[in-house]
Amino acid sequence: MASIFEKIAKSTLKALIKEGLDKVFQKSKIEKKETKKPLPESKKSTTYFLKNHPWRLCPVGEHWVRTHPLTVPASGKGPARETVRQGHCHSNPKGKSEFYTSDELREIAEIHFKTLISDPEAMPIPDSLDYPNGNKYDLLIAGWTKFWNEILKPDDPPTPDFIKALIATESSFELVKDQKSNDGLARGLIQVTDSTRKILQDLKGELRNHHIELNIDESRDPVTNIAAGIRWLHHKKFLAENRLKRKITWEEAAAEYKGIFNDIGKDKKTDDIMKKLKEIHQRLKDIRRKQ
Amino acid sequence: MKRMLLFILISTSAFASVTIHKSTKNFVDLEVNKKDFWISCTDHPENGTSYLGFYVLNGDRNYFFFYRRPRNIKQCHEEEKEYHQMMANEGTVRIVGTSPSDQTPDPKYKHIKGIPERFTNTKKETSSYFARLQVKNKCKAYFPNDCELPKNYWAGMNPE
Repeated sequence: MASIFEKIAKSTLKALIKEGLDKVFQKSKIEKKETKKPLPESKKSTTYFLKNHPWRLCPVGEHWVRTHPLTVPASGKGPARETVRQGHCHSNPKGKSEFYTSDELREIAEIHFKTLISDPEAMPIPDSLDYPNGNKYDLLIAGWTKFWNEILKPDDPPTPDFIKALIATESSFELVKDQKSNDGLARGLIQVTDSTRKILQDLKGELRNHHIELNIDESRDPVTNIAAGIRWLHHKKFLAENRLKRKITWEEAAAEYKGIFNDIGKDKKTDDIMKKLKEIHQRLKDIRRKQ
Repeated sequence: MKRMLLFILISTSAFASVTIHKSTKNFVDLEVNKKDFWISCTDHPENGTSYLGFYVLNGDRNYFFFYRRPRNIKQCHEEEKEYHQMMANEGTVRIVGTSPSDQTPDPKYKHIKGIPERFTNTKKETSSYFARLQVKNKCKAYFPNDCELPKNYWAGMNPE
């Protein structure tokens, strides 16, 4: 008899607690809904939301999809038709870090880089270094150097002159054909290797954030090639510093980028490769100092 | 006087195995007798890397040409073999380099395993990026388009 009363008491108590809890959560849901006020019309663009850089087209957690053709399926309103979907931001798939598509990288370059022409600090020294195309990519060098420095915020950011020197040593500013390396085929002006391209987009790989998705053709394109190369150079410096447990210079980071860091001082060819980089960098630094 | 001139002429032609086709501050184009030419991979098994280099001996100067990036050991030796096959049965080879710079040879690299010391132990050295190697109508370049001749004769440098 007593156990029947106990059971009734317990179930009543449970019901009361559940009702109480439901009320609390319902209230908090309502409160959350209330705090999410509708945006004023002027701020309805995506730029209102938090972005990790003012040049980015999309807020954190979203990526850019460029204007593309779209087939609208047949419905009650009419037959199937071809239309154009304007460029837009799209939520990152669940679990994706901040990542950049080639479309967004191209848009950023097109919209923002031209403003850097009048900023001598952002631009590399306009010295062709005796290459026919030596100054052709200065704007891309300026833009991507600035962008990644502002995103990744290193203590001692690389200068656009240094990036220009690196590209000179990699390709002489020629749109060279793919090149064998000890790290897979290297492509484009800054010689992004196949292995690098894969790591840059591997969400479960060694890169924690700021992934870049490029296919093989995109990894050759100067706009996306330089963007990816500089992103990778930052990562190589980070990795080497962790491995060596000390700060390294950008020249050392470039050696790591070229896959020759461990052979410095042990191989004449390695030392000569580094000597050329230093010579070019010094030439640019000397011109800047005199300005 | 005539005898002296004749002597100079004979002696220089006897020793000069290198013909300098073009030499500017950004570019060097040499033709060399194979006896004064050496190709070698230097391996670093601990890193898996190997570096391809070309040596041209011209009197007391070594013209040194190197690849911009290392290969893995297997790739490097395969390429070395390709160059040797290209040169087989030929008396001279023509080699082009870019961004040459004169430097004092580093005594640390006087003795390099697998390379005759006469190439590495010289008083003077000119070090360049390797651009291409030509033997008669055959050509092999670091960047393949540098073998598109005469269009890309200057191998990506400003003509001078």
